[in-house]
Amino acid sequence: MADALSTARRHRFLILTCMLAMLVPMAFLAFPSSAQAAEAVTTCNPTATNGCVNGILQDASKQPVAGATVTLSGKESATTTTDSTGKWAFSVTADGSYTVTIDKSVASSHGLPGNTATVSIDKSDFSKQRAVVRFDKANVADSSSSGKASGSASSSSKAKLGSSSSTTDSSSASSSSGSSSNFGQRFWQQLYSGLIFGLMLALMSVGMNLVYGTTGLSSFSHGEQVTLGGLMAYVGTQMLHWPLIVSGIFAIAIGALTGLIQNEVIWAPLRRKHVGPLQQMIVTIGLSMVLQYLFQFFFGGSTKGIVTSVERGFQIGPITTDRATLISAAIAIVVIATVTYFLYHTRFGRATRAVSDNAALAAASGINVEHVVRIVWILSCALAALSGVLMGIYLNGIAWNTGAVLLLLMFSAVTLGGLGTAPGALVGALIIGVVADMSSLIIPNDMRYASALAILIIVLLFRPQGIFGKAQRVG
Amino acid sequence: MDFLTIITNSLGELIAPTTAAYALAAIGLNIHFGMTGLFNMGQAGFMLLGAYGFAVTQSMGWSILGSLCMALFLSFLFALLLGIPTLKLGPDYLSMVTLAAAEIVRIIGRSTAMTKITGGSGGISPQDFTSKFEALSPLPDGQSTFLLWTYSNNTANSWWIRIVAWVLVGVALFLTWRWFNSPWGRVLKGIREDENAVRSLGKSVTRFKIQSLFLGGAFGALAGIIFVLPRSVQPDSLGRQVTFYTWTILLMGGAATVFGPLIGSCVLWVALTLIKEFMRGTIPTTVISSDQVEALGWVIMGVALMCIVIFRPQGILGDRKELAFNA
Repeated sequence: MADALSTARRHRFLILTCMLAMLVPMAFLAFPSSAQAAEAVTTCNPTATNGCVNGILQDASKQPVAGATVTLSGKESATTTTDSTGKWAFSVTADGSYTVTIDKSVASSHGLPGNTATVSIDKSDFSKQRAVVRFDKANVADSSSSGKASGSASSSSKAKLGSSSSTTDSSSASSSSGSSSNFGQRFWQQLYSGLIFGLMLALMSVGMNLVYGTTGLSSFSHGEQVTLGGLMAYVGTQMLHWPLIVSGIFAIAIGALTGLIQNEVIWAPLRRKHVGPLQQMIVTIGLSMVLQYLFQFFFGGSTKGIVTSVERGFQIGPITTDRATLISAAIAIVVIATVTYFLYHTRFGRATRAVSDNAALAAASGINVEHVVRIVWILSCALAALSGVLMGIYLNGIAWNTGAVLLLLMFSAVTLGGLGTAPGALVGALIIGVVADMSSLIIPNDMRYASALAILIIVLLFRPQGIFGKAQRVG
Repeated sequence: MDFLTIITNSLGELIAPTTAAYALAAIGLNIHFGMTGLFNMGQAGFMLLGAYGFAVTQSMGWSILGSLCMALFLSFLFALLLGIPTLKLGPDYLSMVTLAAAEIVRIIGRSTAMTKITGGSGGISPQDFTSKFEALSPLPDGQSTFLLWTYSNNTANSWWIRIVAWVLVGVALFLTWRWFNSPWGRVLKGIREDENAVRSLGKSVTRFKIQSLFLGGAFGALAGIIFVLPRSVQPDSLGRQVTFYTWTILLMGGAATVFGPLIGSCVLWVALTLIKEFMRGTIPTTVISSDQVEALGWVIMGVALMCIVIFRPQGILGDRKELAFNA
């Protein structure tokens, strides 16, 4: 009897599962509808239950192709037409490989190199839950020629194009596919990508740490400042068609401006009202929610590529890298060095450190504390914007939640190095970056951020003040 | 779009299990923050551990009681793990470590390496862990309509879950009311106001803090179970956003008050659903898509959180003098 009951219930569950699939997104998460099979959607956000295959159909001169039919086949199948801006997207539910095809006549009449591409989707992997197919790139194959070429070519570019928040997708993808490659090579590659990631993280964290030092505020909206930088660079290069350098400067300027406005409109009045730092911290949480969903509102859920070309990688010793990564790392190093010089060898830098040490005493000795804090906010947000641009180029795209994903790693870096100390952020960020990427040699790749956060907790056990922090009696 | 549907849907949130789950989580957070002044930013971690503890053991065939104990035990371990290194440190450290620890739980839970136990990022589907809970229901099978709302009696998003959830909220409210006025609660409030004063009276501050962390976390674990019962266990649906929403609820209702979490949760979800349904009904989808409405809903929530903290830090019910933002 119990059996009969349970089969009856089980049967009902089949129906209920379908109902649940609709209920869950309605309930409160910003999940798009998760259907049971692939479906054509206007925009697609990868979630735990669905992956995305999408792209923008452009002709050889980057003009959108509207109204073309795009067909998805493979694990699941669906058909859609491109919209007025050439966009198309499929939401898929099963992991596996998919083939995207456009009509051959469309491809040849718009001067596209091929009309079909094969990609693979893995919902559990950040770098593989979305696949972006670009028919104007060489990674697609002509269906009349062999389909084999398309598989390998598109998978390598997909790891680059499709990443939203993973940091070392290009290297991790290559390391996971080439399992036969020796451990030593992977070791150096992961160390290298960890250092690069650490440098970018340091660029973000320095600003956050300066704000903490001068005002005692742990800003949860700092991640959104990073996203803002990346998205503004995207606006510059892709929407206004400016050169990359100009777009980068534009992004930094916008970032600095938001820093100034934020300080004048929100933080300075709160400080004047003597609102405590913890209360302000909750305000930053609110601000971070506002900004994050505003980004989603205006830019949608997809990853935005700042540069559309895929850099050709080259080999230096045991590591593979590309030009953009090296230039980004160089910029990060130069900027961090400049900030450090500024803090330790200029009058204003000394004033900043004095405010960090003791704001009341600094004010008493004639330092305009409000002025210092204003400059620190501007500097911090400008640095965040710069790191957003670099991160967007390094990851080949920036999404509405990229900064939010990185926020915890920034916190870890700052806490690890010592809250409110300037060199702490750099060292902490490098450690976090290297640990996160090196740990993927031992533990599964998708757990690597967990290892970085675990390091934070372990260090706090033994050295609560962080590496560079001054020990102080608490409680 | 007719307005009756909008209003029915919005008011339905008043009794929804999700509202109850958030109320429970906020009651737990109230013990942490409102009573003790602990800045726990990892309430979602407690919820996720509770959900995992319950669902995984259920799918292994444990009894309901055993699974409940497992959920509470896991949250106890988590509280201990968080408490020992951080309670002696300042509030900044506690908030960051709890935030990081909750994220670790989520990352490990959704990892492909854990697929056999936790189901990876796909999570655990309801048929694996809800059948025993539903078998407990004394209600007959079928659907019932009460006032405006019709739900199934026992399965999925049912009346049975609603009854259990709100009874739990009621018990939790009663307990917190007792605790707020007990000698133990007064020690906690003392810790919130001035740790050293309490220490000078010979109380072990760390021990009281761990007790508070555990009790609040236990409510968090129960909230996690209620949260996943009508849907499925999905690690990403219990991310740090959930912690932030719980904070919004607590601060909106009023920290350090007994009914604050309840009022906050009801007001927040009803208002949010009302606004979203209204936007969906009145603004054509060509202007603002459904996803964008969802995003706008969260923007409004963020603005609400900022405004509450700036203009009315004591929330709807709170007493401004009592609120301990000076932690």
